[in-house]
Amino acid sequence: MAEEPLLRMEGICKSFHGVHALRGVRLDVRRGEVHSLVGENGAGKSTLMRILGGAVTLDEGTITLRGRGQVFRAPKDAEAAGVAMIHQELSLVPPMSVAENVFLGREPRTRLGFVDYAAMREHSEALLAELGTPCDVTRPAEAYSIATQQMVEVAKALGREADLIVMDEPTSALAEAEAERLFEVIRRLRGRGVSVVYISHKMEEIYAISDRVTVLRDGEWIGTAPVGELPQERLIEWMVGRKIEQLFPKHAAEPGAELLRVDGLCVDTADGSGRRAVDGASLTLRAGEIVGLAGLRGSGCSELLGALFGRYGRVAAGSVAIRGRPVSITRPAEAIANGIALLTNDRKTTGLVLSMSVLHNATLASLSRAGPPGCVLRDRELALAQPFMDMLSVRTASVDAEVSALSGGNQQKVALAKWLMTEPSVLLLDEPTRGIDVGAKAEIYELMNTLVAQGKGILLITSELPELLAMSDRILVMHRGRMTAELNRDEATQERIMAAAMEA
Amino acid sequence: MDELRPGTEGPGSSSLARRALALAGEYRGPVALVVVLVVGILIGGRTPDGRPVFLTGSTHVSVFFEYAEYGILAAGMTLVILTGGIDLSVGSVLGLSSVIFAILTLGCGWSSQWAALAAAGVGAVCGLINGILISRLRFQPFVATLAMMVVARGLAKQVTGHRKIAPALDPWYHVRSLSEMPPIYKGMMSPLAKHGIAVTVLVVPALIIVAAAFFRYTVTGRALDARLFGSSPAGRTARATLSIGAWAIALGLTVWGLAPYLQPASFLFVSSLLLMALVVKVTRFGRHLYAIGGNEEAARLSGVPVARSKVLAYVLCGLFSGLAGIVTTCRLQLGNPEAGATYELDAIAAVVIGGTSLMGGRGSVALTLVGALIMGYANKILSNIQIHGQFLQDGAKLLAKGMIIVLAVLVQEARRRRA
Repeated sequence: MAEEPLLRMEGICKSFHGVHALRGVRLDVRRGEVHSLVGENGAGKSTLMRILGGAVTLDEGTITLRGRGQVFRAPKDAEAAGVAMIHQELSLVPPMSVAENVFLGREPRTRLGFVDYAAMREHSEALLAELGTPCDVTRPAEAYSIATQQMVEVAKALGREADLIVMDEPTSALAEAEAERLFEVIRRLRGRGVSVVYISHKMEEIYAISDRVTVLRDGEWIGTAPVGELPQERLIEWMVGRKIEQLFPKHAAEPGAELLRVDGLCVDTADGSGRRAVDGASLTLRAGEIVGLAGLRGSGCSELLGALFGRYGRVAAGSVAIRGRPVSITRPAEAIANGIALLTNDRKTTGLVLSMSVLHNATLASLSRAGPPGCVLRDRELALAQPFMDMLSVRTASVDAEVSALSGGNQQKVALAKWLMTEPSVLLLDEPTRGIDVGAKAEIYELMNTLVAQGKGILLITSELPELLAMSDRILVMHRGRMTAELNRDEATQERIMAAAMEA
Repeated sequence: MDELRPGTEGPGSSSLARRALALAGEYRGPVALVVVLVVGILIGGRTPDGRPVFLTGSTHVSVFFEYAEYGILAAGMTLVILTGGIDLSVGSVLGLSSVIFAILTLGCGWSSQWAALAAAGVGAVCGLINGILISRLRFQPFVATLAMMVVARGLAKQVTGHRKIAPALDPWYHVRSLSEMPPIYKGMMSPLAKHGIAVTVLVVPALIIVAAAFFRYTVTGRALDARLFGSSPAGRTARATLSIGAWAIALGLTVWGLAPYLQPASFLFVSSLLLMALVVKVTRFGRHLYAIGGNEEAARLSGVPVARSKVLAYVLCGLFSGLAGIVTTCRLQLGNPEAGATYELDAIAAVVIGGTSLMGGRGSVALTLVGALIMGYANKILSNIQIHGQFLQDGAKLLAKGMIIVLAVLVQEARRRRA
């Protein structure tokens, strides 16, 4: 390595309340390189990046940027040094225009001291066009899709002359085509000599986009290697510290009685336009069966699950029967009483109450069983929760810790514990493995197999096709609210699913 | 879950100090209250014989008494704020209920029980309207309760014809003179008994509290605790029963010991807060309030009856405003349509100083009691303090009060940021 790297972090140590989050971690990023940082949740990736972004100060170690030692005390120090962060939760101001967002905090001024809107518009238009995302920069940021908003973030970073951009799971909210466009932009950035530190849990992405990979585990540096010299099995072994023989355990499908039958279900879109989010969907789910739902963004898969759970009130049309008995579910409470559970696709905004403790989150949907009528007794609550916390091996310092302090995988387990506690017979799982590490993923697959073996039925949505193919007994494909294909396990391929998901 | 707590560090003076500091951090509110009390003893004025007035029982009794309405309002306000809402109408509703109670007792000759029920009911109805506007018609709490604040005040002025309701002001009044006033007017404001039970009764609850602290926070205490009860379900139940029993005895004795000195108004203040603290901690309704304030959509998707819980929170808040209105009427010996103006701000301040987040989802009613007492004692200090022989004027008092609020919130924020 003759060339001095753009960024060199060495011997980074950080502990919180006496718990080591990082121990002697190093990372070096070359100019114009896409460098993936991978590891299980809780491995220390986020802490390392927060140190790089100036949000957290390090205990020990050095940061060298362009050959100069740096001390970041606050995010603005990092920003001034040319480091930009693009988080999962975007940091745009939704009602402000795209141009205002790009120049937020460093608005150009006219000679009279007023904000120079013309210059702002011109520059931001140029930046976005360069990123291949031309758009009307005078419209508010919230008017655009997440994908475009991400481009606005990138433009904001470039506008600040950042030459090191950290992207933390940027594709977790993107559809495949949008992700593809993001990769295109990342390649362009690389061409411009900008370096990108890329954090993702998706193996295909890591292999598709990165030049080198650094793996962290339990706060320690495990290794750095060019992506071409690191086969996937090896990478997973580095991440979890053991070989995962089979990421997707097989389950023997032995479908039993019919649990759920949906006929001609229609759901209107929330915007009141009268369009249908789900348009005449029909399906059946038997005991012991995992039925996968596939579709691109806007296909209506999530809305279908939400409607079954009573999330949108009365459905526009169609009928639902549980175990052959027709039901009309208009509220989540009724769905729970009918043995339906919905794990939503975003645990932070709809899955968990982040300000409450692990225990209180886990029992939230089962409080009627946690004490005498109307009351909650701590002992009963603990007794209720303990078996599920053990079964899912939720790792937390205490059940009284705020759930927000847990890693993504453990948060997801708490959300799952909440639903298993309601003793459902039908589980609606919307992206159950989004944003969690490979170890926790394997545990959740294992759990799904255990559940169907107990005679429960699962409707599964996942945007990761290998996962969908491996876990589902049958796959239903949706396009614009309509079912366009039903594929059996042995006839389903990625190509056939994509074809059905995109055609009309 | 004691067995899941991270292990404590070994013995030693530094770790002991650290634990004490951590404990002080966790109980920041009570510690602040103690600080206020110490300040009160130091600068809160002296009796003619030279003793600090903060060391006399009557000072404490008067703080509870003077702050009663604010405290009662704060009890309901905490429930609403826990859901992430706010109720600006409590002061006006207090005024409305005050004049209704006065009209019914003084004007129409109703018995005080029925009049009290009606006045409290009016408060509850105002809360119900707030709740329905907010949860069913999706008004923002600020807007809905702002409207109610104006409407209730208008109604209070309308029904009284812009006058104060006092004995014998009008020919149709049932009560013609002060001496004819129903006994509740005097009773609400005078101590329950002239002869107190000895303060030594207070020693018992103090001992129980010290013992509880020993078991919970010291290494030997915890070891003893584990040996006594074990971790079997039966042992846990036994321990829970014993600890609930001990707290009940401590509470009962405190109340019994203080009863002779306190006025019913002060009792309403303390018991409203204690009752709501219990409701919030042990009922499903209480848990639902936290869930709604923390993440309303996640709560709804977990089967929490969001609309019903919110309505109930506002109804209770209105009910407490009604109760506070009755107390005010008895205190003033008349029904004043202007009563309670700006009281909502003091109630909100007590909640916030206690450490309940205005964003909802975090806090507790017990903390509000502490917040209310901090405000009450601070007021007492400000009215007792003398500079160059002069008492402080209202302007200076308000300035100081504002600074206390800012300071209290800064301290709470510092804690959250570090956490």
